[in-house]
Amino acid sequence: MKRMKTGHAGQATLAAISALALAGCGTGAASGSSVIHLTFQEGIQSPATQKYVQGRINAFEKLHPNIQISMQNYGAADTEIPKIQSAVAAHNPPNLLWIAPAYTGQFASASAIVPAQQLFKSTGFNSSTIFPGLLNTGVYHGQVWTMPFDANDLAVYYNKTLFQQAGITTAPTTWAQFLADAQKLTKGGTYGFEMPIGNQEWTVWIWETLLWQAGGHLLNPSRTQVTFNSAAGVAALNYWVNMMKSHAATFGPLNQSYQLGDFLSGKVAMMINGPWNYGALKAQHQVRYGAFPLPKDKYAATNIGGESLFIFNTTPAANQAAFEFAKYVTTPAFQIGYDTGSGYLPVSIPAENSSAYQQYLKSNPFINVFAQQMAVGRARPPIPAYSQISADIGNAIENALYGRMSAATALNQAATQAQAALKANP
Amino acid sequence: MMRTKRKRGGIRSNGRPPDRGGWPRWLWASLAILVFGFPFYWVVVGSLSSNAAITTGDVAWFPFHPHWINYVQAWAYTNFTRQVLNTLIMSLAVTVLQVVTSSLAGFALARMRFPGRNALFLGFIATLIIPFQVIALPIFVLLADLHWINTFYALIIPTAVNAFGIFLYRQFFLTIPGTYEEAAMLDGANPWTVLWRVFWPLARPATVTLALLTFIAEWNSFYLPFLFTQTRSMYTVQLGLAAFQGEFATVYNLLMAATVVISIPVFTLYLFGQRYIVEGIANTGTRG
Amino acid sequence: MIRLHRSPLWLVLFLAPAIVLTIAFFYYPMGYIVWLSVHHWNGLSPQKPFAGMAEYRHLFQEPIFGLVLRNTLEFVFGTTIPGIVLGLSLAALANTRLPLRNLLRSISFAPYLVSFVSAGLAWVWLASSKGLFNQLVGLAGFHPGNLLNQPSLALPYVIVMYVWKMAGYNMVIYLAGLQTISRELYEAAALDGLSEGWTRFRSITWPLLRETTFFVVIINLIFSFRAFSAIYVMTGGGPVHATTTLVYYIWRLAFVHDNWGQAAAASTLMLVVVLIITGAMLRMFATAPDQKA
Repeated sequence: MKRMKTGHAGQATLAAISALALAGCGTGAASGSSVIHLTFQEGIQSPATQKYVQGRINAFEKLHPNIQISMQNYGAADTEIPKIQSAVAAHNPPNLLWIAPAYTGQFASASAIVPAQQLFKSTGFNSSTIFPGLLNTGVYHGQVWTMPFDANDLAVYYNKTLFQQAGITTAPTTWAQFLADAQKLTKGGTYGFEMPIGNQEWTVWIWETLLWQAGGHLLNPSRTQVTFNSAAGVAALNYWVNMMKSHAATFGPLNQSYQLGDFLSGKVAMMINGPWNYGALKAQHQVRYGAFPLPKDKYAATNIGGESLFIFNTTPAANQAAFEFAKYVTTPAFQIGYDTGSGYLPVSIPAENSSAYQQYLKSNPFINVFAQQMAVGRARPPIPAYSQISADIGNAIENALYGRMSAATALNQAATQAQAALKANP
Repeated sequence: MMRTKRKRGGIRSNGRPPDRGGWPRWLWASLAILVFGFPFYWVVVGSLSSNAAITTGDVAWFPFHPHWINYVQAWAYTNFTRQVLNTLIMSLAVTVLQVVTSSLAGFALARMRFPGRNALFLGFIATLIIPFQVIALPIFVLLADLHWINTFYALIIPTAVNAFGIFLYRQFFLTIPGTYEEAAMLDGANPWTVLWRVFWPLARPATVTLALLTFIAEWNSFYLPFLFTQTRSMYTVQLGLAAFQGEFATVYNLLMAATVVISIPVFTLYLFGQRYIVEGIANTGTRG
Repeated sequence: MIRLHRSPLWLVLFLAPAIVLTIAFFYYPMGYIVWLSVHHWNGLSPQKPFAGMAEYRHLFQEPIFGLVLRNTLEFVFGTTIPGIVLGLSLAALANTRLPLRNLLRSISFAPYLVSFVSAGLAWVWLASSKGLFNQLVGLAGFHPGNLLNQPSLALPYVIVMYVWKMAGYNMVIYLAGLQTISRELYEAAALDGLSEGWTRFRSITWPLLRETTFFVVIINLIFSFRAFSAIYVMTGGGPVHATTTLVYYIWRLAFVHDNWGQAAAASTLMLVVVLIITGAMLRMFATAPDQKA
C-alpha cells in the first residue's frame, strides 16, 4: 500500500513538471493551419500609446483575418539591443521589432532581417508617401531594409518658472547664450542644465547634435573612416566639459539621463529630450514646462530619431504578413491617432499634411517645436558598426566629462577603436 | 541531519563561553542592528512616501501619511502578476527537480558501493566552485540550439541539479545506521523501495532545508533568467524589477514599493523555516 | 551498504539524472568555453574560424582590460576580507548572552535573504543626490551629490553594499563554528592563565575556527567573483568603467559587442583564476600545521 502511494506521488510530480515545461514551450510556435501568428516587440513607454497601438492592431487583424499579432513590450531601448542580439543568436527573434533604424546595418549585415524594399512591388506599396529623409535612415547598401514607424528629434525642455526667476525672457539660440543662461539659472541647489551621462546611446545621441552643430561628422562621405575626432568634435566635447567646469550643469542619472525626475523636481532648469514625454509632462503638476530648439553653433542641427519596424527573417509567409503590418502603420489611419496621442511625429506625408494633424500642431506648441526642427534633422548612419562606434564615443564622452582625459585624447582613443570596428564590419 | 547535529553540539548547544563585558558590547550590538536594519526600515518608509517627498528629499522619518497607492501603481506598471506566476513556476519546478536528483544521487553515493564512488562525489562537488557566469555562454548556445531560449525549459533544466543538494543528502544518509536497509533488503525490497520507504521519510529535515534554500535562491536569481529570457511575458520578478528601474529610475517610491513586494515571499519562508535555513547554511560551513 | 553486483541497474537509475545534467550544464560548457576561446565568433555567424591565441591577445590589448582586472580584484578582496571580519565579529557578539543577541542575528542575516536586485535598488536610492547619505553628510556641510555618479566613489559604494549583504551569512557560519567550541576548553584555558579577549581569541578560538574560515573564504571568493546583478542595477559598469568587473565585462563582450570569441577568452581566464585561487586556498589550509592537536 505504502509503496503504491509513493509511486503515485512520484509520477504525479513528474507529470506536473512536464506539464509546466510544455506550457513554457508553447509560447512561440505557430500551430494554426492558415493563420499566421506574428510577435511584435516594442518599447513604447506610455500605457496610453500602447493601448492605441493595440487597438490599431485589432483593426488590422479585422482587415487581415489570417494574421494575428501579439505585442510584447521590452522596456528601455538601450538595454534591448543586447537582448535582441541574443534572441537572434538563439534563433528566436521576434517577427517585428520596433527600434531605432540606426541598428539597420547591424542586423542587415548578419542577414537577420528582410529588406523591406523587396516587398514594395508585390504588395503595391507607394514609398513616396513617406518622408524621404526618414526612409533613408533605414537604407543599407542601397536598399530600404527597415520601415519607419514614428519620428522624433531632440530639443531643449525648460522650466518656465525658473526662467522667469532668472530674468530670462527669450530662449537662447547659440551655444554661448545657452551657457550664459545655464549659469544664470544655477543657484540655490538648482542647476542650469542636466548633462546626460553614461556611455550608452542616449548620451551619444545627444552629443552627435553638438558634433553636427560644430560642423563635424561621424564618418567621411564614403563611410570608410571615422571623423568624429576632428576639430569640430573636440570643440563639441569641450563645450560640455566647460559647462561642467563652470558648474552650470549637473549629471543626470547614470545611463538613464532620459529620466525626467530632476527636471520635474526643479533640480535642473533645462534638459535635452524628445517629444514622447509630452503625455507625462501634461499629466504632472510640478513644473511649468516648455521647449525650444537646440542652440546652434556653426549650424543648426538636431538628431532624427524615432523607430522603424525591423522584419526578422522567418518564413516567406510570415515576412510578407509582417510587411503588411509595417505598411499599415504608415497610413494616416494609423499615424494621425498615434502621433497626436503620443507626441511622436508622423512619418507619412499625407498624415503630416492632414488638417487634423495641422490643427493638433497649432494647439500644441510644445510639439510644434519638435516638428519644425525636423527641417535641420540629420540621422545616424545605419551601418553595421554603428553600435560599436557609439559605445566608443560614449566612453570618450565619459572620460572627458569626468576629467580623466582631455577631449582630444579621449576622442582620438575612441576613434582608433571605432576605426577598427568600422574596418571589421564595413 | 538536524537531529544528529544537535547531539554533537550544534547551533543551539550550551557551549557558550562565559559572558563578560558591559556597555561596549551593548554599543556594538546596537550599532550593528542599526546599520543592518535601518535600510530595511528606510525602504518601507520610501515605499509609502509621496512623489514630491522623494524628488525633493524631504522624506519624513515616519510615514505619517502613507501613500498606499504606490503599491497599486507599482504592481500595475510592472505586469507583476505574470512575473510572479513565472517565478513561482520556475522556483517550484527547480526545487522539486533538485530534491529528486539530489536525493537519488546522494543515496547512491552514501549507501551503494561501486568503483569510482569518491571520484564521482568529488566530480559533483567541484562544480560548486565554477561560477555560473563562466559557463553561461556555452549553456546559452546549447539552449539556443535546443530552441529553449525564452521558455521555461531554459529557466528550469540547467539548474535541475545542484551539488550542494547531493552533498546535503549524502551527509545525511551517511549518518543513518546500516541496519535500516539490511532489514528492508532481507524483506526482498529493491533499492528504490529502500529509498522511498525507509530513507526518504527519515531525510525530511534535509529535504526541507534544500527546498527552502533552493526556492529562495531561485526566487532571487537574476543572471540566468536575464540571459535566457527575452520577452516580458517570460520575465521573473527580479528581471521585472530591474526593467522597472530602467523606465522609472528616479521614481524611488514606486521602486521601493516593488522591492518590498518581491521580498515578502522570502521573508515569509524565513519566518516559518528559519531553523532549517540557518542550520542548512551553518552545517555546510562547519562540515564543508 | 547496497552492493553493486546486486543492483547495477538501480545504481544507473539513481545516478543518471545527476550525472547527465552535471555533464550537460557544467563539464561540457567548461570544455566548450575553452574551445571557443581559441576561435573567432560573433555569436551569429555559422562559421567559427580557428583563432589560436588571437582573442587572448586582443583581450589584453583592450585599453580598459587592465582596469577591469583591477576592479575585479578590488571588488573581490574588498568584499571578502571586510565581510569575513565583520561576520566573525557579529558571530562573536551574537555568541554571548547579550539580551539583544537574537535581534542582532535576525537583523544582520536579513540582508542575505533579499535579492541583489532589491538590495542594489535600495542602495541606489540611499546614494542618490536627494537620498539618505547625502542628507546625512549634508548635516556636516558636505554635498557630494549622487555617490554612484562618481568614478572614485562608485566601486567602494558597491563594495559597502555587498559587505552589508553578505556579513550576516558569514555570521551564521561562524556562529555555528563558535558553538562547537566547548566551554570546558575556555575554562581550562582560564586555569592555564590565559586572559580574556584577544589573547584567548588568538590562542583558542581562531585556530579552532580554521576549517570554518577556510570554507567561508572560499564561498565568499566565489560569491564575489560572480557578482553581476548588483552592478547591473546600480551602475551598469560605470561611470567610466569604474565598476566594470570581469563578469560584467564578459557579458558586455558577448551581448553588446557581439564578440563571443573574446568573451570566451575572458571566461576561460576567469575560470583559471578561480581554480588557481581555490587550489591555493586548499593547499594553504591542507598544509598549515594542524593547531588543533
